Amino acid sequence: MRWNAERILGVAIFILVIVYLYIHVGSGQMFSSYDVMSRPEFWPRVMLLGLLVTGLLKILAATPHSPTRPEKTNWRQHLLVPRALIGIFIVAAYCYITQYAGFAFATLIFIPIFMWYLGARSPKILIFTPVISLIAVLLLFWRFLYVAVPKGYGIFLSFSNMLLSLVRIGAS
Amino acid sequence: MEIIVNSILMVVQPENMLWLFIGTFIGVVFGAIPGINGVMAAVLFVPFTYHLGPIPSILVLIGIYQGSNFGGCITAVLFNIPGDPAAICTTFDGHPMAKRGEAGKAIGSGLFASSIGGLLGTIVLVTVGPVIARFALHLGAVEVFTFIFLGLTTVSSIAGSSTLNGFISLFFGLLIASIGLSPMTGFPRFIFGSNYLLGGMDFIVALMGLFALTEVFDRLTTKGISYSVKGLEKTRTELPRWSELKRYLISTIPRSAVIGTIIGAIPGAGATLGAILSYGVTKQFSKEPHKFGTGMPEGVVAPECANNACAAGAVMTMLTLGIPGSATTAIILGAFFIAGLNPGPTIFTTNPEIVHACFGGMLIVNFMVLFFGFLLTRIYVKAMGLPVYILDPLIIVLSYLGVFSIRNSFADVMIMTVFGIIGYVMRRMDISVGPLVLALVLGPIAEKNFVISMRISSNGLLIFFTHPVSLIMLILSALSLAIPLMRELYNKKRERRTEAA
Repeated sequence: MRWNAERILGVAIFILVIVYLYIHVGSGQMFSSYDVMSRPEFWPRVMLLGLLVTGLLKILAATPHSPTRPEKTNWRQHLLVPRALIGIFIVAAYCYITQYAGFAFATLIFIPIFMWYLGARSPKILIFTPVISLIAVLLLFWRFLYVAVPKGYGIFLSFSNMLLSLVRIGAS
Repeated sequence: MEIIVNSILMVVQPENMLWLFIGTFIGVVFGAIPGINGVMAAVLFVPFTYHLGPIPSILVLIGIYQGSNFGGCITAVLFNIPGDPAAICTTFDGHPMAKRGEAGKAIGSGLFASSIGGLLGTIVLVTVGPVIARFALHLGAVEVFTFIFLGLTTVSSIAGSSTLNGFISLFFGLLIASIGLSPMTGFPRFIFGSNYLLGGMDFIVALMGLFALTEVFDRLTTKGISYSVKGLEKTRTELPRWSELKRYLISTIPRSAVIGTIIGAIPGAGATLGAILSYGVTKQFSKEPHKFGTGMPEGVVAPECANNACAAGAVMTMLTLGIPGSATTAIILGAFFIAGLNPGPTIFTTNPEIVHACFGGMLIVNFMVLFFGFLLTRIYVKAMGLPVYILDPLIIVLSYLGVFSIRNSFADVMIMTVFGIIGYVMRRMDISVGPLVLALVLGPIAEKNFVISMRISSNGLLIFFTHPVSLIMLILSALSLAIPLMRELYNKKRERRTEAA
């Protein structure tokens, strides 16, 4: 990628975001009596300018000066690794779903799916690892450290309560 | 000498030793669990100390404090996941060493440095503690800001592949740190109408996302069934060899212990800053600075030594002035109040036995850290030998609960995932996430002290040049920035010449 439309668009979006944030952080007349450097917007604005300058320098440094010189890295190919993207999606979905399905249920589903995705194929491992891990984690965090684990709603709430009561019996 | 003997005698009673032992065990174990740091462990165990006497309760907390300081080193080396922000610098060289098959040596060096750093810091605490504490109290907002400025410029110029990348990470971190209420005026910034963002970003959330999740996401790009660590089955905690020991004891350890103790004594500065400064200074003084970041044992020794010496500095300020030097000492201070004790200059005369117990505890705990370090490292190394398909889901689940336990917030968990993605992108772009996390920890403190300095200054920024300590810090900052930059430019020039040839 050289100084083509795609790169120019990328730089334009980067600058626009910085400008938007620069304007958005302003406190208006509220602290106008304060010295410029004591105002609440001064610090983030300096950081925005720092980010703008260093970001542009990075883009410039990554752009080859001569058309014959090869591109150092193909960022698009480097970042968009399908295996990683699917993995990120599974983890993000687990983190999101837990609030509705409860920690216990979501974890029991997430661990085998992620393990399978990472290459585990033995049914024994896929069944026992989630169960043992969940019990160990619940004992440590919920039973021992009193961390309130998410229980979910509806049927998931009943499932979580049932499982937590089992862990409580097991621990006492 | 008499104080040291009395202090040791106070602690070597069976009951006191038992509580210190338990505290150290809890500290090392919890310090090594991603998402749970020493502060959280101390908070969780404070209620258990209510029924103990004042000396056992303080010893348990001292054990947790020092134990967790080392615990963070184990996961930083083995999994590239620092247990707390103070262990971030340990990942720079510790994990590359582990990848090279030297995990035992890295942990052994960190363990040795932690123990010696803690011991030296405590000896300073016993001998010249009150003097340093009074000196530290004279350091105001101007000096604290320049200390942090030096720490941040140092870490940005040394972390990662280039200085430019380090500064991108730093500015991004400082920008994220400014989300929420401004520290001095309470003005909301970058909240976009969200009540959640009013509270700002918790650095533990960022730490878990940027290190734990990023590690998992990045590993997804390469297929494999085990952690990429050579010779794992043979890994044992290896203490440094005599030749290395001499080198560390002559230069790295005393220097890091002094830096750590002084930084620890400054209220609010904390072990993170001590570890960064110590790492940066060690790199600048090294004969092979270019090797830092690729797995230099000194890169593990320096931050670990400073980290534990900071604890002694923080306890010193708490005992002599009644001001906690760190978050964990604030909890220990709470335990003092619960026991009806008032730390400050008078405690040396009103309750000398408590002071002796503190001194003795801080001395003996270092040997216990050494013991648990040897014992528990084996277990962690075995855990590392598990296949990735078992370890990675567990890391995700532990990170989830570690983050959720901070304030029972789902938003925190989602933010952790976002930080995981940011970390993944940054790693693929060869930008180190270390400066970003450190900026998140130190950014609000830096901004607060900057604004206070501006309020008390009649000449604007000139105030930083009129105070001797801050002037020295600024000169050191300029040097820490210029030296790596010049080295980088020189290397590039040489590269171009070779290319042209």
